[in-house]
Amino acid sequence: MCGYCGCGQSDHQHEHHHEHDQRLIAIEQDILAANQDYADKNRAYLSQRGMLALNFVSSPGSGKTTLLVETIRALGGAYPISVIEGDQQTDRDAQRIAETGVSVLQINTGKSCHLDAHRIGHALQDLPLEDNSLVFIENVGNLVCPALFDLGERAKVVILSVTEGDDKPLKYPHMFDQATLMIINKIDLLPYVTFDVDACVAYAKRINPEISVLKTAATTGEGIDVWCDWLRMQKHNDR
Amino acid sequence: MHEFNICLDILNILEAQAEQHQIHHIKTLTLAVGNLAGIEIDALKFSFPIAAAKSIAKDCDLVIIPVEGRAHCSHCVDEIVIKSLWDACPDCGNYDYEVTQGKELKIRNMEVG
Repeated sequence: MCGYCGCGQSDHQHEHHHEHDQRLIAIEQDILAANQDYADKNRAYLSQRGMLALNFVSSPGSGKTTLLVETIRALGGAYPISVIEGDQQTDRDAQRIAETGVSVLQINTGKSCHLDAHRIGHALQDLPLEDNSLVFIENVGNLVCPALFDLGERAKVVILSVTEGDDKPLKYPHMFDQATLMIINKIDLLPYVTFDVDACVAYAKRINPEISVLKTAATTGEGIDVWCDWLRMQKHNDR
Repeated sequence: MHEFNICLDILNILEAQAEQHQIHHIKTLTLAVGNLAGIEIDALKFSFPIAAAKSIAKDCDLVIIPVEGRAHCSHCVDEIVIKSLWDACPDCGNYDYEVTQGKELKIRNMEVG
């Protein structure tokens, strides 16, 4: 076995430094392991309390908050719901969610571009949470960085609005690779924009053949019933 | 740009290692970064000296070993090499494959002196 990297091969060369005043210390540690540990703890905690947590990711302005507000209204109290809002600054989204009457906690990430599992762990302790509830985590509007950070959620839901362009899955593949469901939102605006829904779905499936797709217009309510059915199904399967 | 946060995570690991091994300065740090890891290597190289400016890794050389993306194609059942998640299988042109390598983001080792 290679004594340097422990890879099981002995016939390859590394750039070894053999000066005696230098030491090489093998670390072999996953850089995101700390986040992953917190995410695993969150997942175990959520599971233990029968909660279904979803991580909503998208560009800024895709309509995440409006979709969540309309979803909470459409579900009409069928499940206890809590919301964790992530934004760089302000509690504007939390105020909109609070108007629906569900419990909400705003996290301001400041200089950071994503939510991480450590912050979510604290939020889960700080929020009043009921057993068997739905926990919606609205991540920072950003199609890049949040893809890397597992929060302990059951699934990532990526929201793409038709004003953003149908090629976003190809441009931001990591997020679509990670998502279980893609919601194409603002479909009421389709007559006014050049957005090819079929092409968008094909691009997303190219990145992630398993991804499910739903279409909604959160402001008119179109497709919200099917989306709520998807949620009910996930909740049912989660038991 | 999450690369700066990644640098802070690296420094947390290094500081724990430094305490364990009684180290005061790191000369070279070697990372393995997969081509499919969602990390921009230039951004990582740019961010690291800034993040490390007041740490035990101040002025250290950052060596990044890229890890090739590999996947198992569900159609032609071959192991294939992919440069990105939107590459088609070079053998059969399908996109249905399971990534087996290339999402790594690891600290391999550090050289201290």
